[in-house]
Amino acid sequence: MNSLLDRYDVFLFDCDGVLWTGLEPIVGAKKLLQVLLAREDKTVILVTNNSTKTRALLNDHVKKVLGFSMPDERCLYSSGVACAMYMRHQLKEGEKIFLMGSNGFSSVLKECGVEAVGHGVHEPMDLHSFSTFQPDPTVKFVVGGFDPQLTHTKMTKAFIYVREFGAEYICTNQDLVCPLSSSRLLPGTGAVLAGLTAALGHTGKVIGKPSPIFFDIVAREHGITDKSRVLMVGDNLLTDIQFAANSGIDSAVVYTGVTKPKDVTESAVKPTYCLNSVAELL
Amino acid sequence: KQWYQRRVRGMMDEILGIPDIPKRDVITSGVATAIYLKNRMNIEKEKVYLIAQDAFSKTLDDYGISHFGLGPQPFRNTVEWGEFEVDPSVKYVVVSLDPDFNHSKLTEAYLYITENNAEYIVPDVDMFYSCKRGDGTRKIPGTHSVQAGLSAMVEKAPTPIGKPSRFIFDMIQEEYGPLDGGRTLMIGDSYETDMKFGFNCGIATALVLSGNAKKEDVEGFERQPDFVMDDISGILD
Repeated sequence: MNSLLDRYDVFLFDCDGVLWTGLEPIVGAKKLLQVLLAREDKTVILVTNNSTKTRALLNDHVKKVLGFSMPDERCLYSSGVACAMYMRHQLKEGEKIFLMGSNGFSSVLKECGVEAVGHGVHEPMDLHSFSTFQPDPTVKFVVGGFDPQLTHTKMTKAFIYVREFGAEYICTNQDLVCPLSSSRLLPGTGAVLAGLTAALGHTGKVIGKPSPIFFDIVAREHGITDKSRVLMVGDNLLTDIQFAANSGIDSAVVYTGVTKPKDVTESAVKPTYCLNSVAELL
Repeated sequence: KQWYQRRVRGMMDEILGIPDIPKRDVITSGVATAIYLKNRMNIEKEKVYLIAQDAFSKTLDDYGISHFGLGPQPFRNTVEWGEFEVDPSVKYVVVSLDPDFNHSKLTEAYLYITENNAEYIVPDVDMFYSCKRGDGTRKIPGTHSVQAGLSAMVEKAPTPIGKPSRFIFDMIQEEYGPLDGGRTLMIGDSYETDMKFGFNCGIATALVLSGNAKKEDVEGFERQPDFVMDDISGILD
């Protein structure tokens, strides 16, 4: 399949299920990346919906699993990084955001110069205490990511910011589940934010995959103008392949993660290519 | 004994000056859930995983129903979830409003439902609650927001106990004998819970505008209640 390396110059990779599974590299992934990184005319960018790590921590994970770091941290994107970049130019001096997210996401925002309130654990409040809750008037966005500390109390404050005070609600992604192992699933960001989604009647603006906003942000930072030379490689039809379709770029699904051949047959969205693993790109 | 019933009866006395309301005449979704569980559980061998507040837990205690899960639960990481042992005696998961509800409780509930085939019970499903705010009210997410993530993740529908499900009405008829739908009136302030409950039970319905529902909402209802009044004193008119 050498022609795929010739046909495209920019390779976007999802991480889990594509380059590695947990801490185990996918066979051939290391060699593939080394080949691509060695070529001046090729660009490698990692795009993950996992908003819990900073770019530096993501790169540490790359190093731990594949044995080398990405030479340019700007080639690592999480949905958290995308949210920070999305908001950064829309916030005026002194304006803040209300954050429902992980410590990693909080750090990403700080690095991007976005000031957040509400991060962390909230004192539980019963219904009647909300009569006197006074929001911070400088909050312009409510941001939802994977939040291990999201309680009904914290979510209610977010709801009030959006409903009563007109804050714009954006989220990193809506993945419902996160596979822990082949037999156990864990709730993903979509499940954690489901209560707020139900109360508001919408998910907020999704910035991560499958939203094309994520692609626009990557394209802008890297000066990508020719979409026909971009290939998205992922294991998830609903996020990775849909992302490619929404962004107007080609895609390749790999069978080393959550998708198997029969899922492709049953899916409305189809990838451009089907590969057993990323090793087949070589 | 019935803790929350005692509080409601206490409020009837304190606020309205009506003492001595019989216990059997105050039914909360907590009481209804306790009765539902009591009729089904093997009390000796089976347990309930409870996501709710203190009052609910006390009601279950009153009915001798063994439960756990109340209060804050710290985050468990992926390693801990990989090692988490699901206690096979947990056969019921009850999910109601809980200010401490978080990812950890959501995951634990999910595991009992999917790995134990535990019955997923929702005592109440209110989308919103109202609290006072200055002269008006503030709308805030209700119990449904606690259930939304779990309901999306599990394949089966939960068992509804409270309004608008007719379970409580059937329970009342078991206690009082059959009721004539034409001579039974449901009075409430919420279209989604109280009025739909009345429709589901085939009884007459009266909506009061002193709480959740506002006058401007009325014309938009897909089905009109039999009566609409400013407040409960309208019954006497």
